[in-house]
Amino acid sequence: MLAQQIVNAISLGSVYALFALGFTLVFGILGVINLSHGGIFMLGAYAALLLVTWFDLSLWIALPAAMVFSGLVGLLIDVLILKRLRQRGAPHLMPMIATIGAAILMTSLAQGVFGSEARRFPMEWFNDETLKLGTITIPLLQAGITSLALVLMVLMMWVLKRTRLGQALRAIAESPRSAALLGIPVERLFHLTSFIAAALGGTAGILIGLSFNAITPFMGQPMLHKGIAAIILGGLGDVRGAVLGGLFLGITEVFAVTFLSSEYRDALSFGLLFLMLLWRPQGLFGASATRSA
Amino acid sequence: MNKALLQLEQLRVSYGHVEAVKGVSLEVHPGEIVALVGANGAGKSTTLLALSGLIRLVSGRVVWENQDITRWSPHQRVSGGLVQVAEGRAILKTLTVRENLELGAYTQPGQADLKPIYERFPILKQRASQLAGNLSGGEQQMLAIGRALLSQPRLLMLDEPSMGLAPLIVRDIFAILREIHQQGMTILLVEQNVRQALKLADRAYVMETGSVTLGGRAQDLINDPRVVAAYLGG
Repeated sequence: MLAQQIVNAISLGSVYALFALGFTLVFGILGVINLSHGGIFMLGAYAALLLVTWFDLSLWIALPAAMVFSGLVGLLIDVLILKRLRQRGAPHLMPMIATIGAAILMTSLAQGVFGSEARRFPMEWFNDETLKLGTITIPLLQAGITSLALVLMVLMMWVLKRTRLGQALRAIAESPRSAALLGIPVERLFHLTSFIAAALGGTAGILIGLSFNAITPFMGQPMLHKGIAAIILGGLGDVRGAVLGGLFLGITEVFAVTFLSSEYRDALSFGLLFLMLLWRPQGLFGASATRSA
Repeated sequence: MNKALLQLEQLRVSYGHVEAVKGVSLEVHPGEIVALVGANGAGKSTTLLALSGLIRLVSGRVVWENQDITRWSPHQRVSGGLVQVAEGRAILKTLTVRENLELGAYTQPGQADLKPIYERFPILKQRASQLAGNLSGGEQQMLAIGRALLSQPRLLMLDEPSMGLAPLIVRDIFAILREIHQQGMTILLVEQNVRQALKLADRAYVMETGSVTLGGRAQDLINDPRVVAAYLGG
């Protein structure tokens, strides 16, 4: 029972972590809190659903295509909104407000096109195939979702830590001006970051859509709250922190549902967030919320 | 006289309504050390930032090897050989010394060859895996210069390399600059330490409140009564 719940918790937490990873990348590198990340999460899920149901594509094609679509939405938001605010040296609140507007626009569009009812992936995917690890039973779909989320996270962390691109992104995260003086094309990498972050957010949306088999225009908002909680828990802008914060939230939620009641799920998660902020306001990894020019 | 490597023509820069650089024109020729000196707030650093493309010009032109590069992005300028060691050294403190150096070669194809830099600055090799933020001020300045050299500059611009350093370290840094220059590097040096800068430079410009007020051979300026009275404690 406990082992089974741990598997469920890791599965849910890994998807939260994937969402939070994209969210924290934008904060760490662009220095803005992109509140349209929940909207992108929702659009990613709808994009995959559309490709599967309307265009009859297999999930293996729909998944990467929807990831790219989500990335392009993020890129569009960066080019149309965030870049203009950067060029004007807008204060931090402005991108937050502008991206709230973008999120509302996306939600309204989805509501207008798809309606408010939950949409579902074809039921044949949700068959009874399972993996058995001793006493633990893992539905194949859940194993796939968890594996993909973990692989993407590890890949992203490897890129940031070990590659030239990762070095350049970390340089920008510390100081865009210093990075520019080294010949790093800062604006281009801002666009790339927005693309990658949104692709990760959209993928999380697809995975949550598959996991709960329910896609609605409003699914982004609660996820956004969880994403904010995860990156605050881990330390704003810190990639490891976002991953741990996401996993922590997933574990808390699953255990709250198992040992308390589903009504207390969010209360417990956000209660712990509140306690965390009292104990360690800078989060687990204590990344600074400020950076040089 | 050689053809100018770099020409600034009537550069104007404003911060909001405040005009920080008011029509500055200057030239740097290949193989020279040119110093841009003046008091704090004279517009020297702003001029360098504009040269690196980090500040938009109100008007004026930047000409690099007879090509108008006024609209070039900062990374295009670095790729073209205009490399700056910024005021305060702009070290990436959360990255290791080696990572800082590797990023110096970001615009260069292939793997960065750190060996020549480690030979010039052995302390950087010893500290390669340490976070750059843990280096002393002098070591950070060496790292900043070494990192800039990895960008293969054809004009090395330095903004206040002596700032915040002990006199002995300043002497070492100026010796390093002299050595780099002797190996053929063209240098544009912004410096508040007017005496040191004029001793090192071939030519110099004096800036006051956003404008160039004097220019000429450094040797002449060091004896100019106006410079002596204003900057050399005469």
